[in-house]
Amino acid sequence: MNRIGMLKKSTGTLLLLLLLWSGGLAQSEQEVSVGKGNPVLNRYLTSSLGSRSVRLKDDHMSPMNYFGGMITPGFGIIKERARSISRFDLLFNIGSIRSRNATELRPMRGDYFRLDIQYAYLRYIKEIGEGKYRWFVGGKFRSHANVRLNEQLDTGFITFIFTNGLSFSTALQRDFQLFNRKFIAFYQVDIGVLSHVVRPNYLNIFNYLDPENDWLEERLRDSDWLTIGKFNSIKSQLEIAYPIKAGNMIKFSYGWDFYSLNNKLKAKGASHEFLFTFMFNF
Amino acid sequence: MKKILYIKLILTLCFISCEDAFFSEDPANDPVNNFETLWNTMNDRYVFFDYKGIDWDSIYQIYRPQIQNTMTDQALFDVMEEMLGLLRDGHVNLRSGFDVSFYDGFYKGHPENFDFQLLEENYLGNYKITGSLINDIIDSVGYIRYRSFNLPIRENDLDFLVNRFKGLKGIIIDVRNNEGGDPANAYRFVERIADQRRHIYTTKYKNGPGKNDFTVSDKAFIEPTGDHPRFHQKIVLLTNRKSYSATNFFTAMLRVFPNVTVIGDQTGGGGGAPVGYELPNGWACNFSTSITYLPDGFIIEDGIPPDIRVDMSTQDKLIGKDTILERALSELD
Repeated sequence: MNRIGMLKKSTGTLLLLLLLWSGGLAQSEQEVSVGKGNPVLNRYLTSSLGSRSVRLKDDHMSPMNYFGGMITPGFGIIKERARSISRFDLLFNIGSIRSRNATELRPMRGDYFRLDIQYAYLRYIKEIGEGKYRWFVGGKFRSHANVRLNEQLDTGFITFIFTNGLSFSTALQRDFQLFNRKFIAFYQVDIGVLSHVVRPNYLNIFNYLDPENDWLEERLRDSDWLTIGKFNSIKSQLEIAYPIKAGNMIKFSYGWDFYSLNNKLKAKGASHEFLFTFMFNF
Repeated sequence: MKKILYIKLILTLCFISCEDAFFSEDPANDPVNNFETLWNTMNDRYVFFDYKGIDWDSIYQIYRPQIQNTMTDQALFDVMEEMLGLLRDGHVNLRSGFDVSFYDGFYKGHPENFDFQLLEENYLGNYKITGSLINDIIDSVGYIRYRSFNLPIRENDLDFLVNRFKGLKGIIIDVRNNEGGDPANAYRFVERIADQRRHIYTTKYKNGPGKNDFTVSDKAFIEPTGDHPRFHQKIVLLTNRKSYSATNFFTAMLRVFPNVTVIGDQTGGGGGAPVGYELPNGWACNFSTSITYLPDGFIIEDGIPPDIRVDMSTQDKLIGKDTILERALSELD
């Protein structure tokens, strides 16, 4: 099997495993919770569309900051229980990024591909603010990959980072009235605690072509378990949901996320994400 | 309760505004800073300073004083080109919007050792062009000419050639003047020659700014794959100084097989796989960031010597003879 075929197969298998794992978590949680006073209140299938603006600085590629904007489709599942909320999200981006010094002669641009798969479990703690806010604490698993193709860098045109991390999460939820209509606000912050970061120690197409290369094995060899300091990640998200008919909702959300890898192959990335989401109650 | 709302708003705004604090500003786009970026990048990531006995710090002392922020792009490019030329590396290039610097010392000043017109007129009567491979039969020997590794080699092409040359005394693979390209084509070709799994070379990659920041050595192997037909005959590989980069790797791969003899001149080299980096002005520089060794420890950066050293003689050329090809034919006789 050729390299690309292997890569596709490996990536596909990994994604499938992640999806199954996430589904398994949700399922097992349901089985344990039933009968313990944590009944399911609402379940939503979500479908999102929005935009993301990205800022990247990859010291192995360029001393410049790169910026770009792109369309963001996404899908997810939200399960609200009496005492917990679990959320699974999948977001995908394709776009391009550019440096501010780009010119027609020296384009300084790259194609950008990004995938985020995340599962959060938040446990209700208590009401605060005279009962107006519901406070949740929990954790989040997040798998993030971004790949850039920069043709101007010749055979070193592939740069990427792939992280799987566990975050500490906390959230506040409250209902409020606006124009005599009920809205639900939800604010969540995730701070990365432990991450498995895969970034090749050598960014060159030659390295991927060697017929004897075990691509996955080499990428795992390039990987590290990193904690705060070496790999910092944070995500902050504010959502406003508006109930419509039949228990469905529409939601607007703004999210900001940032990561910083501080080993030999330094890289930083941040993005602002605006999403409109339809939440189908099932 | 408004306090909590305010805290949320402040936190959100804080994350937005903090972003600038996390990212360093773009470096200044002026000649001095572009030069410093280039010099520092090479200093941290280029691999052959020790091997080539180059004192990069002293080179800085020579070239840095020549840079002023008032100089033109062309003048800056000229200084950088001259400085990079001291690395004597064909995999080091600087690409601006108006020019590309390159090193040609790996073949200039050496015998040319190749003349395709002479071949066409005196050896290749009615050759076939199978994909990117010119091929013919000369005195019961199969001849394959591959002029660039940028031209794809397809499995079907190799199937055709194996069948065409079945039963012949031997095969000549001519990669003279082949300046490289995609090494995937090299692997595909060599898999048809491999008799068994063999260690072809070892590579280590620079992975940090320190002098000794290298990955562990990565051994590359090659073996016959699949059910594809293979060349079983004796093989002669023809090389000259313009056999560079992927062709250099191709030579390194082939020479480990006992049925292969390399004839001609030393290859041009190019043993460090290049990566690229940008300067603040958008010029891109590529440079070698890996060192490749033959199984016996020989570094292939400056070329691989042939098993039998032959130059094309002027006298032979005048009578329409390719001295190197003639030597290959006699070797296979």
